[in-house]
Amino acid sequence: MITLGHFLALSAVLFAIGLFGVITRRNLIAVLMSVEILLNAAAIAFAATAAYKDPVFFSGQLFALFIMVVAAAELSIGFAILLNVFRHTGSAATDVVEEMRG
Amino acid sequence: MSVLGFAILAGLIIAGALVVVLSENIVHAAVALAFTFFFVAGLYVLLGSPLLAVIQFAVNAAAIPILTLFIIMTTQSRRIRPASGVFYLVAGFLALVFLVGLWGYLGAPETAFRPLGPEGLGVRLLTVTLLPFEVASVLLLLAMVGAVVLARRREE
Amino acid sequence: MSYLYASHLYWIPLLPALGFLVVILLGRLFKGRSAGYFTTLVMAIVAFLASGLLVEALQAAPQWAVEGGEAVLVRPALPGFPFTFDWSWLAIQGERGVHFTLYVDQLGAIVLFMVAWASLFIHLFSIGYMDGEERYATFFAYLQLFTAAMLTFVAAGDFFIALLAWEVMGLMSYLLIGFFFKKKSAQQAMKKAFITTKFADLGFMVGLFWLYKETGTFQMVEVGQAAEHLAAGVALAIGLLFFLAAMGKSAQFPLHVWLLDAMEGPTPVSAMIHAATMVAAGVFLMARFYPVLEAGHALPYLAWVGAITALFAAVLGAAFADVKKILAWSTVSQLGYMFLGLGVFGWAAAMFHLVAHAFFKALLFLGSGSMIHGAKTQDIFEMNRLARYMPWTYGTFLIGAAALMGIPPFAGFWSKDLILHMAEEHAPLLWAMGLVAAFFTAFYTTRLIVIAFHHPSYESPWKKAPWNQGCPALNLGPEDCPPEPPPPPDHHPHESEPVMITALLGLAVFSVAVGLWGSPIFGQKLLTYLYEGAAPEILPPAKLMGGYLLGTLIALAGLFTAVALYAKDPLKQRLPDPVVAALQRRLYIDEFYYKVVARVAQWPTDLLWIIDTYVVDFLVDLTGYAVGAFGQALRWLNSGKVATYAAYIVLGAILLILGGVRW
Repeated sequence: MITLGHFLALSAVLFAIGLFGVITRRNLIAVLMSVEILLNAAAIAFAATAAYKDPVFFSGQLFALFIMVVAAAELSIGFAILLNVFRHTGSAATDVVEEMRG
Repeated sequence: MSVLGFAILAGLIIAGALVVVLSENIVHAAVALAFTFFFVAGLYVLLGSPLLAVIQFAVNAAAIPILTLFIIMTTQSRRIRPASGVFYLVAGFLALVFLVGLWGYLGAPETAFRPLGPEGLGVRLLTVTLLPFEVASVLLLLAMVGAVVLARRREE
Repeated sequence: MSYLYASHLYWIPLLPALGFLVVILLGRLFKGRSAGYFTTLVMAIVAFLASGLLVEALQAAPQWAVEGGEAVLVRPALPGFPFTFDWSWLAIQGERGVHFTLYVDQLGAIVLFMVAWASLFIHLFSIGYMDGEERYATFFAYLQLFTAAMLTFVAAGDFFIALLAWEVMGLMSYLLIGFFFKKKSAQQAMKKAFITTKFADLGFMVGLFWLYKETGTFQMVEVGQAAEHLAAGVALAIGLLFFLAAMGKSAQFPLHVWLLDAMEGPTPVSAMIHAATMVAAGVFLMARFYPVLEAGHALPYLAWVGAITALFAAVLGAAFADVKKILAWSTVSQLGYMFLGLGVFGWAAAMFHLVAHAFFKALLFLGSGSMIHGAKTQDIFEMNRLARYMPWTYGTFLIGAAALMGIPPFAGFWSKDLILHMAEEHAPLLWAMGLVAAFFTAFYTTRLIVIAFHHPSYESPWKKAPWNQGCPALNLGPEDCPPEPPPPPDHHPHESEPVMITALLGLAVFSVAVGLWGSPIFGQKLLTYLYEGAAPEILPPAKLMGGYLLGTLIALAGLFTAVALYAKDPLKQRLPDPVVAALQRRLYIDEFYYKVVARVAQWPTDLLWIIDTYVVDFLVDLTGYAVGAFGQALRWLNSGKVATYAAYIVLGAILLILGGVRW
């Protein structure tokens, strides 16, 4: 039998991979892709927990839906900003936006 | 509905995600992202939630990678300069610590779950979370307008 | 039983507050007189609601009848009376906290009715009076907020809410006194009013907190129940602290100094705030606070202060030449009567006088506004036979004056004689002072009428007198406070426009009607209604007859003395110079404040300034420097690299998780 622990473990591994990507990637598009992985990891944890622990309301699965909505919104805005950066600097690398330094 | 199915899906998901974060070719990464999300949709089928799986497929496994590919084309990106080794080490260490820290929470013994059909999900979406649902639509509208405004070419 | 108006009573203070917001926020959209019309419409609605509320209160209140001097309960109060509205506001756990409570009993309903209608007429009058002034809309916005605060104060069922409304009233008084702030004297007068009343308000605040400490509640009803359990000394101290606030607000000796100079404001303001409503708030507060005052045996203080003020203000009123200042002295004096009434157990009589006075004094002030508008001067000596040119103003002014003097059957006669009757029973000395004050009241009122309405224009003796150069009461010299120019010699007074006359007529009707309502002619209905039948003032008319006769005689004596003195030769000075100078300079009390009190108060102020600059400011600066230095120290963390920031986030998440595992 698959337990909830299986799903959560998968979610945790996926999240760790996403974190790794967010830190190491030097291209804004790739960073955004890693963020998508993070969001999906969270969604998996929510959906699985709901199926196992909340058999009445399934709030977690509803939450997974909303995570998708937020992910879509986040990505479209992220890409719009990225386009602006690209137009300014001609590159999508992260190190071109180093002006936000204290 | 077997452990084997789950193991195969999990392996594919992890492998896809690793390609996304490691590949130096950004197009490969985007395609891998699509596959990863496709397998996550499979995971949802396994969980007995077909509607969630369909939406995951349509939004995350199709729309988002396509959008990403468009952006890759627009910005003419191809290769990603790899970060320095120190960075990989630091990030790997952090991710590992994170994973280890999280592991303490994972011993959930529940073995039985309830599937949720499309009807059930839909009804709950429009009753339990009616307000968040409406707010989400506003959020999407905002994102759309914001994206248009931000991405518009300014005529000077 | 459901009450249509009572269940919506919060609209009564709310509407003018909304009116204020509309006018102050959209001020530029109100062109010409539209702000005046709009706010008057708001007040008309409020007056309608307040009338409905009064009718419901009259029906729901317990019904008493007087049979042979004994009060008999005909029917107890209907359920739901007194009307309340409660909204828990600052309820801290375990404490009663502050409730936004409105509480309308018989007294509240009557005074709300009075405030709403007086305010309506004053708005109406101002439409014409303020025409062409700069900041026309602002003026009406201020009037609206003031009215809202006064209505809240009257309807308040919680002393904390009352304090808030009280302070808003003080603020609006300040702003409206200084409405013509380009005049130096107006600036000085607004500061004087603010500082004097704020000093008194300290009493309210300290008393309120003390009261809360003793009783654990701000609710008026609960305070009333808890009053008898207070230690007598504590009740006396709290009562006197509240009385200090009332003295400041109601301009009682020795805190009366600000009210005279408050006449720098526009005349409708003088009528509204400084005659009819706000200055009566002090009396009203004392009425609401009566249980504690009784428990602490503080009433004799009220009676003494009231009697002294009534007498001394009435005497000084006879020495002034500015029509508004004469009326201001008269207000001080009449408020003194109210305190006297409260102090000699004449609670209902004092409230009767409060309502009656509000109407006839608002009428007199608006009448004076009409006179000033027509004659282009405030000096009664410079006014030219106004009776001939302003018949409507004259007629209504006479009604108000008769009420003030105590000529039967006008309002002041019934209410003032009732107060004097109570004084006669409880404090004969104060009664005698009240009678002398009544004589002077009739005297100065008649003097005002004779000189302003019947005599031709003279050169003002006030402006010629050497001791009146500048404004000594405002600490201003002749260069900062030049005398108002007399009207041009060819100026002909003219009657005011119909809106203003309408307001005068309305107030005249109300002032007569209120007087009759409380008179024995109609069975002292107002009084039985007010005090739940326990009013000692309700007497068989035969018992009052002697007092009525004496009151009438004294009023007539004052009247005829003034006619005899001023009909022929109004300019003749009959007292030696030093006496006149002392009277006209207000017994030098104001100058004493400026020259002595202010200077003594300067020393601790200087000390506090030093502490503020070198200790408090230093600490504040230190906080700023510390934050800045901390920021500098952590600057290197902010690399500008996105990846580093992401790593920080992860680090934070890890710390949270590890912390979570441990717990």
